[in-house]
Amino acid sequence: MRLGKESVLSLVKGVLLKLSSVYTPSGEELNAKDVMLQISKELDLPLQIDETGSYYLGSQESKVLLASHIDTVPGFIQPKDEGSAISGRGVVDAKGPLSAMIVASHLLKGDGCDVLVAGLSDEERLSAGAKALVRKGRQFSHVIVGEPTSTSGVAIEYRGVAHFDIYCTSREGHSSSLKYNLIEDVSRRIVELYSPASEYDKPSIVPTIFRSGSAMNVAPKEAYVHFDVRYSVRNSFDEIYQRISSTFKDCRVELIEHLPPVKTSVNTAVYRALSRALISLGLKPSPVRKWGTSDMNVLAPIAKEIAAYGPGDSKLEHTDYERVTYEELYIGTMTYYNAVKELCRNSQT
Amino acid sequence: MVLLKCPVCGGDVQVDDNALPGEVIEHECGALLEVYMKDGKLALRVAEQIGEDWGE
Repeated sequence: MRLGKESVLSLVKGVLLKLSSVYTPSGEELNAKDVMLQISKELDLPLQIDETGSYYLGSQESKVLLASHIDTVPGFIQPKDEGSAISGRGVVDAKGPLSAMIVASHLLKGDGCDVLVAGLSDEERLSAGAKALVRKGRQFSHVIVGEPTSTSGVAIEYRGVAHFDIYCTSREGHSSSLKYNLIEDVSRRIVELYSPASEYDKPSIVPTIFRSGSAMNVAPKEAYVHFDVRYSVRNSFDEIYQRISSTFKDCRVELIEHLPPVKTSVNTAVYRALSRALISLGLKPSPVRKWGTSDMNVLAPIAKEIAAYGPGDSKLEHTDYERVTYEELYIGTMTYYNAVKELCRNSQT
Repeated sequence: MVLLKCPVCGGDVQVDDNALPGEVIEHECGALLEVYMKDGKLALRVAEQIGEDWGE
């Protein structure tokens, strides 16, 4: 269904303002239930809500999935229509991409190309929504992940993430006379392991939590450290794990979360469709790789082809200055629309 | 399909007739190639390297 630019913009702005008017930090996704029901009714897209608080709009049987997320980082910021842009919590990450996907699927339905749009839960935490979808055993021919890629980028690679909890113990004693100190010992090992983000293909090993001590004059008997590790497909996770384990060989090391990195190719039909859609809108598409992790890492095993794309400046993610322009929203919506239309056309020939 | 040559390794590259200038292809030699128009015909040149983007 071809609509004029103003009509498309009116639809996508309306959806985004509705979605960003409800506060949906991870774990509180059901706050958007009434708004989603309203959007489902207005755009004639059947709605299902799963046990994790993920929303599924459109054709539940479709082999094409447009997957963004409904949750945001904490801290509500009232959405504001600034006349040429919309600001507010989550308008970049990722309610802008999600709104563009919803409107694109509405337009595609009018063309007889039914797709499924997911507003997944918990992406900002442990990806409970995406993991639930994987557990259900669904398979898709093409998945587009809706994350901001600065509007003209198409992400084909994400780094993986691993979270380690480490518990060390020692003998406690009076701080005035004990020669060994657990804080000093663990701190030295943290410094030894610490590897800040520097190059894409160099793993980052970053301590994010350190707790120890119970009293002013007692050398502590327990210490807890948490490491956030990021690495690319060109790194060996086993080597990283081994390095951490051997550094803390006398401590308890627990891997509490692990999402492997993902890398796909520019030679896939889904990348090609997205790039051709951008070119048709007058933009120069570019393949990009992301330093972070997204639901693309989780969904890759259930997708024959996958890529991530979305409107919005990725540098504004997780800041108090999230803002997406009308132009970005329009380009995002039409990019999803044109790309999926090409995939539908090719699947029929 | 149009048969073109990889500007890096000289190997054959099959490009769709309907390819648009600006499309990027990865050749089997590993080179990232960009489709462009030269004298009204599709041609290939070395594309910019894969960019890096912050965040999720």
